[in-house]
Amino acid sequence: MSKKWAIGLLAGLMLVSSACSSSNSEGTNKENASGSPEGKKEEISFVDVSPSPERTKYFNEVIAAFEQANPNIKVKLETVPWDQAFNKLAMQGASKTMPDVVNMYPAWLNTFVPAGYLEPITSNYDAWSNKDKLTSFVSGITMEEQQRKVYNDIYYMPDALMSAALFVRKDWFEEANLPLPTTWDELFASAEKLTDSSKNRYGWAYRGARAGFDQIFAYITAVTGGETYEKDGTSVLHRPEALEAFVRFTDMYKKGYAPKDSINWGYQEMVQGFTSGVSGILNQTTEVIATAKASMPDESWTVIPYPKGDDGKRYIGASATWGYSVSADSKHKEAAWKFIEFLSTPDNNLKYSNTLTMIPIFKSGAEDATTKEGPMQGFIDTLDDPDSYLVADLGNFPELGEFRESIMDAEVQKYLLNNQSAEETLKKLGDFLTNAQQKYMKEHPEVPLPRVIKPDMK
Amino acid sequence: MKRLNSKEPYLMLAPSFLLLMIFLLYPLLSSFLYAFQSYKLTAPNDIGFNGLDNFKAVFSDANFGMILRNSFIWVVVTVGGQFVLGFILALALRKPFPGRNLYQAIVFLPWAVSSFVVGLTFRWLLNAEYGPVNDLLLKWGIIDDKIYFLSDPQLALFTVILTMTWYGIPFFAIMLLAAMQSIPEDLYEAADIDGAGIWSKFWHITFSYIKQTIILTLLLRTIWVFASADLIYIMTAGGPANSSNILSSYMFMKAYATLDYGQASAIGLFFMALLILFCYLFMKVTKFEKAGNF
Amino acid sequence: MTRNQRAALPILRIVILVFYLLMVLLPFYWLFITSVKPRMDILTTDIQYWPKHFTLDNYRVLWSASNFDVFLKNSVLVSIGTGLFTTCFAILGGYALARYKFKAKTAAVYGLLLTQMIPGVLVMIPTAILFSKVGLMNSLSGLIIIYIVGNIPFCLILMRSFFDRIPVDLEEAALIDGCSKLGALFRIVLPIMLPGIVATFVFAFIGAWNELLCAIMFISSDEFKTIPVGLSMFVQSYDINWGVMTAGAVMALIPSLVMFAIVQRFVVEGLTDGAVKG
Repeated sequence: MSKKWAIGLLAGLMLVSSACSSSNSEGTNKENASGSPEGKKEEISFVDVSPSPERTKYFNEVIAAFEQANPNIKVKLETVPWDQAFNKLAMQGASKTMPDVVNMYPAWLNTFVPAGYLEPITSNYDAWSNKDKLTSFVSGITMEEQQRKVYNDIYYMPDALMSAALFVRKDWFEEANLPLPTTWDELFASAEKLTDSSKNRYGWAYRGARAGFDQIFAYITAVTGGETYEKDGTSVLHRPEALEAFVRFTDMYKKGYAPKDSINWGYQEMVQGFTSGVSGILNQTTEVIATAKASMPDESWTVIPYPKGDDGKRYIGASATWGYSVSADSKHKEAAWKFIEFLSTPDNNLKYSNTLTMIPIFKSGAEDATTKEGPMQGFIDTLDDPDSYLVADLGNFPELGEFRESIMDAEVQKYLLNNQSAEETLKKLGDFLTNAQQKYMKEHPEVPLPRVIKPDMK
Repeated sequence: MKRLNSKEPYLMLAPSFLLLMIFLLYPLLSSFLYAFQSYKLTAPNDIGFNGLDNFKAVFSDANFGMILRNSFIWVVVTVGGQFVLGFILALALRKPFPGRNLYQAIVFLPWAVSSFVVGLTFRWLLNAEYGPVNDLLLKWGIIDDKIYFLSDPQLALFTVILTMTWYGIPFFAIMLLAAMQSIPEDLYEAADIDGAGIWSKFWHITFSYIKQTIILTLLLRTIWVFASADLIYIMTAGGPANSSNILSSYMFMKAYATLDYGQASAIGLFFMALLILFCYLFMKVTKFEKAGNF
Repeated sequence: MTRNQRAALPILRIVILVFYLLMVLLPFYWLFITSVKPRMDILTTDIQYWPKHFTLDNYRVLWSASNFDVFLKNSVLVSIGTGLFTTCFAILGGYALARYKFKAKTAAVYGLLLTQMIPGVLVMIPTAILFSKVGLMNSLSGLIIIYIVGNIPFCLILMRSFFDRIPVDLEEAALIDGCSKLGALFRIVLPIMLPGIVATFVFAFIGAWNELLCAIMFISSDEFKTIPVGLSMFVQSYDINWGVMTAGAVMALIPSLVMFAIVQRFVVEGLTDGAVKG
């Protein structure tokens, strides 16, 4: 009996050990084989930070094409779910195990660049053959304004653009005989008229948590002429018109034009609120088109341009959705850049943008018929419209992470729950931003103040 | 107790402790150091000793009091709920009945599901707009108005506690059941002959026989529940307005949102200090040492 | 016991059993029917408690488009590995703690308790650095080691408490009968402890089976991912593919169900075998 035990146990242990080590050595064997003497075969790793079946399919195809064109380089696709992406990359950066090519999120530059995790690709970019084919939005804003001017170097190649627009329940508007809103004032009025809590219908898909403040701030900047800071770094939240705008926007929640639950709504819930038929108007970006198409019949919804403010101008947020960077600890920086270059050819970029419903980075792509069909047209038109301006961003200081994660939404929630006055809320937020921005300005006098820019797609 | 001078116990404990030392001790010591340093990953050139600054920053956070209070409620109600409900289940399962194997397999399943699936599912079930629970309660006329399980600051914490309790019952049930199985049947028979009532049998036989296991599982489970943050993170992200934030989720968000490892380590040290205090008190109260555990 | 009490007991028991069954089944029912609904029917305000359109598409997508079979294999390997190793170490160590008196004993037990109090968040990065130095990053063995480290303290203490309940006289009797110490351990003690051993294995297994955070942090390539990581891929920044994710969750339940069912037999028998004689 004891022998049977011992043997059984031992066998079990050995089986498991061999199974695991064979999985490991499969990995290393591949590398050994590819490190054969003839021709230097390199293997680079590429991480996708927002995987989905569509993206994985696309990347696998592109990788296959790339490997065919470059037989000496092998690309290994890795994925990490979005919720943990930043955490994992931070950990990999700190432990020097970052993949060679990183699918970057632009907001992460604020932390990854000072921490030294990314390799500057300035010289590669400057020498790039396709540089002139980019839309001026990308070359002017994404590359020059947001990167070179701030960091003195280029750190990522954008993969596509996204901008904001309004998703609306066309059928509800028709039922109520309402015209589609074109200004913020009309939007607030529509939200009120569309709300019918007996039918469980609400006008506005309110985002109360997980970066909900972004939406409020978008309206605030509509009344501040797009600015986010005064010249000395004081936050515009201290302005009286900012307070008015804050109250007006959050009244949509307080007056019940949004479900009471939405104080807890993040990105997922607000989109679900729209697609499940609870909310009539949704302020979101291009990638949501795919979800809306899959979840709702086409006749019930459409996309209309972002609303204009009282001054007839439209202040929107638009930026690269993600991007590609080379990690500072990569041992195959040349091969990594080659892959990024391949991903960023006009053809591949067009295919990528269409698959994922985003705006291409090349002039040819933006003009392409496939891009312009359907709801995407609304987004591109918005960017081309002479009245559209790019809102200034919140700044580049490292405290931004904490502000966005733990502070901004919690403070607003206190106001929504009537635990705090609007003045106090804006004071707290404004003070934080002012302190951080002024500190940053002192340490980096050469970086210009965040400001309004006129986007151009041509 | 055998052999006082033998090397055997050390050998038998060696593999476990070796692993623990390499993989826990070393990182723990590093964290100790970070707590007293200005250690922000975003400022790698700026690392240096800064004394108690990290601790000061943490304690002066206006939300800290609420977070501590929430942590206390979280631990007491969750562990209490899991324990009581798990115990009842174990008692009900003690004697065999037809189909018990299948029943047990099903009723222990919550434990086998990954916490994020549990979190997301319950978040959906309890959603005020399109969640089934509200829908059913309204349809059956049990309530007149939707219950805002996750967005009402009074309810949010308790909703996550409810989910965590559901999640943790199988654990207690299995442990207690396994422990109860070693109670000899003759004890019950003897008690019956003596005319003992249900409660007396339960208290004097069942409960006292497995007291050791109960104390241990309670102790360890409390530590884990105190440290767990994932359900909170998924279901409410600590909101609304920090009403469901507890020390562990607060620490997690600080570490990853700010990449300020100095502060995160300071919170971590405070966290451990609280737990050590708890263990000390718990062991005193349950006369842990006297029970011959050492 | 009064006659009334005697009569009420079975009924109470049935009520309790039914209550627990419902409490567990309802969320799982919801998971299941979501997995067989088409996308448009899943998130609606007009909630369907029974699917209007029944579909197996989600399962099809699960098996063909995502690498679910690989995830399943990895999860099984990692969980069994963790369970086996942890149980072995726990048996040895638990026996040592229960039966021996030695100088470092108190420190050892306190040390084990202390390990449970260490917040994972803090340990993550130093461990990652350590792992990358010895090449254990992105490997199943590395993950198993992490899970063992995570589960050993509890399993040690647990096994020790199970050992404690076995009277020493049993082994002494065996020794007098001519058994070696190890033989006594294997032949006499372990069979009685079967429920405890199985409980320990199950605990370590499940601890590895449903763990998410470490698996995400330490495994990067698809070929080594476990089920929880695979399922979390369906949760994107603005969209949750409920249909396929619940299909995966349902499939992941099946091995657990099977394991629990088999294991019950071991947990149940072994005590009524009347090994503990007066």
